[in-house]
Amino acid sequence: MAIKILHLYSDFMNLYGEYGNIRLLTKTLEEKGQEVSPESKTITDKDIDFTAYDFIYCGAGTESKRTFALNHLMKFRESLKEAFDSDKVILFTGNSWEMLGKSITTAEGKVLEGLKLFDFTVKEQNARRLTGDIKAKADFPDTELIGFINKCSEVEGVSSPLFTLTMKPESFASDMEGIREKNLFGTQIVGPVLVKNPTFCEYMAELIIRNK
Amino acid sequence: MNKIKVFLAVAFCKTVRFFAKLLGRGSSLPGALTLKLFPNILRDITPPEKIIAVTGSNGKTSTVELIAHVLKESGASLVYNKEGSNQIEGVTTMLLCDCTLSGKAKSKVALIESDERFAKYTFKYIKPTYLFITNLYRDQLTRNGHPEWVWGAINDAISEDITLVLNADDPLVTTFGKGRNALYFGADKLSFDKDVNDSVYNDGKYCPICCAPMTYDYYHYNHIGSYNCSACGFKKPETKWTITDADLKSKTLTINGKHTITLSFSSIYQCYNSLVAFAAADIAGVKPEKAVAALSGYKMQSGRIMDFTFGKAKGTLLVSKHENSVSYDQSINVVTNDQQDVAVLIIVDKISRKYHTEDTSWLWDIDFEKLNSDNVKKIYLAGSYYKDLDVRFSVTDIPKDKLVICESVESAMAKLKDEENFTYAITCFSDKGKFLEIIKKGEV
Repeated sequence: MAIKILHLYSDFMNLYGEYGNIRLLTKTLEEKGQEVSPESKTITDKDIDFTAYDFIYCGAGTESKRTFALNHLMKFRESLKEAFDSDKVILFTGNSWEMLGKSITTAEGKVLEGLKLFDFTVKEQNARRLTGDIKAKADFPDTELIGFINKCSEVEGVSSPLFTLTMKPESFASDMEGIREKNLFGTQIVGPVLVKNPTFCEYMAELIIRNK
Repeated sequence: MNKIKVFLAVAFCKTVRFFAKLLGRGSSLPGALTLKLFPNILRDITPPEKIIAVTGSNGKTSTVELIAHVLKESGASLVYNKEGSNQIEGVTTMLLCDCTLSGKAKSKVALIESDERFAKYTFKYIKPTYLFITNLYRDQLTRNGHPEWVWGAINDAISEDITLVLNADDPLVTTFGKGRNALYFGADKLSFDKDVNDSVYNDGKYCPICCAPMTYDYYHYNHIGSYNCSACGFKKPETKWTITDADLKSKTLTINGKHTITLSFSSIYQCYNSLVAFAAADIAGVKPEKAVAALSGYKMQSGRIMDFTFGKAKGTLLVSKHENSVSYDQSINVVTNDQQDVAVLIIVDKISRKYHTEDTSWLWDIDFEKLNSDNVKKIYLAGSYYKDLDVRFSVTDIPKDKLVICESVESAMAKLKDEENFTYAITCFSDKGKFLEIIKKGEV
């Protein structure tokens, strides 16, 4: 049976080059002898069953597009929760993982209800864009990872961060970054994070195969 | 008191400028030092009667060069920041050096290229009469965040007394006109337009006002074209200055159905830049015939397109912008539109000369797949980021045997020496220096 990959909101949650993650992961899985069937779902889809996929990915977007995605995704919260609870491999990058918490307070002061898979809260501002190259360390794979972060938010209340940042711009409040719960990975790194980090890509590919 | 202050500030700025020039320093320094001593000086001078400002992601420098050329040719009394120092310091230098010692502008028209993120600081004291906004693309996201973030920065700089002149074909730019005093320029349906946006991403897919899916009657390139949101009624507005016909093969462009300009280099970019120059000339009171005469056959001085010879290789350098996929897509378009067999050299050696980043995400937004074209015989991928280029090209269908991976600019040039196909070199300002130096030496 083919490995089913879902790229969620690939047409607008793409700050830049996020599809590279899917292209490279597909290639890596194929090189391991797997058959892969990648699929996209977006805002116009009325029916999404997250439990039907072996891997679910969502990339970074602008703040307005994130709100747009969140409103739509809220309808499928139960299905996403079920996929998460049943150990599906999930990767949310950039600001997309921030949707998974309790709430997001926008720069305009509006409080958006989150998907409530976790208890963290997010606060955005529009005075200063927080950008820069980063280096990160995790306990999986144990190599140093690199990436770029492009955000306007700070997250509070994550109990199990994904990374410790070993290099970061001074403007970042914390050196803990992202989230890891079960097989869900959330990181603020934008763009093709798996392309830049072959060991991360390899780890994800193996995890997906094992978990199938 | 004020008079003395103005006298001192103008004299100081001019003096620093004089010595800075002798020392080969740029035009930002005099303004920067003057602003340290006289922070509000721009408020105290009498600026030129008409101030035309240009901002946006791409084409600012070229557009300003073209507008300046047309205005100068038609005898306008003009001052502009020709060195492209487009933040408040450079603008201060330009305006103060144009003043008499009593602080009155000598020129009637000031033409300001303004950095899109810093426009709000520049415009605090010097209000443009007209503000042209060329486009908003994914550009230098390492410092710009994203196009909507830049939109917010420009929006903060627009006050009620500014007349906006907007690119009607760019949906995000058009939204600045909502409820404001705005004029529009744009292009009607052209012979080379497309029905679908086949680039890597489509930033015009959803309405910038209500987020509903939009439809397009046609795309000129990327998400630039004629859009329509059926949910909220947002659509491409009527244009006052319009490209009614453009033929890239015969290098001609017709504005408002009757003014035909012959271009020295044909690209859709050059068409838009010329249109903006035509519109600015119109605003400044230049007769259309004079603008057409000045624009026809004009060769850009800003060095974005340059012919070169190196060993056996002959070719053209197309200066593009790293971290700006639209500019790369445009260069790729020039390559694939060429009828002859060609080679392509892509250099990514240093991402920016202004700040440090190693981010190469933007390579994934460029439609390199289009280089999988019969006329492209060989592709050299070179520079310190050759591995990033290699991975990016590995997911295209371009045959491996066409790719020549070179770990440095030097090693690429050593191979390029024997290239028999006409060669397009595609790279950024930050990397063209190294390339041109080797060309000049004639050897690696």
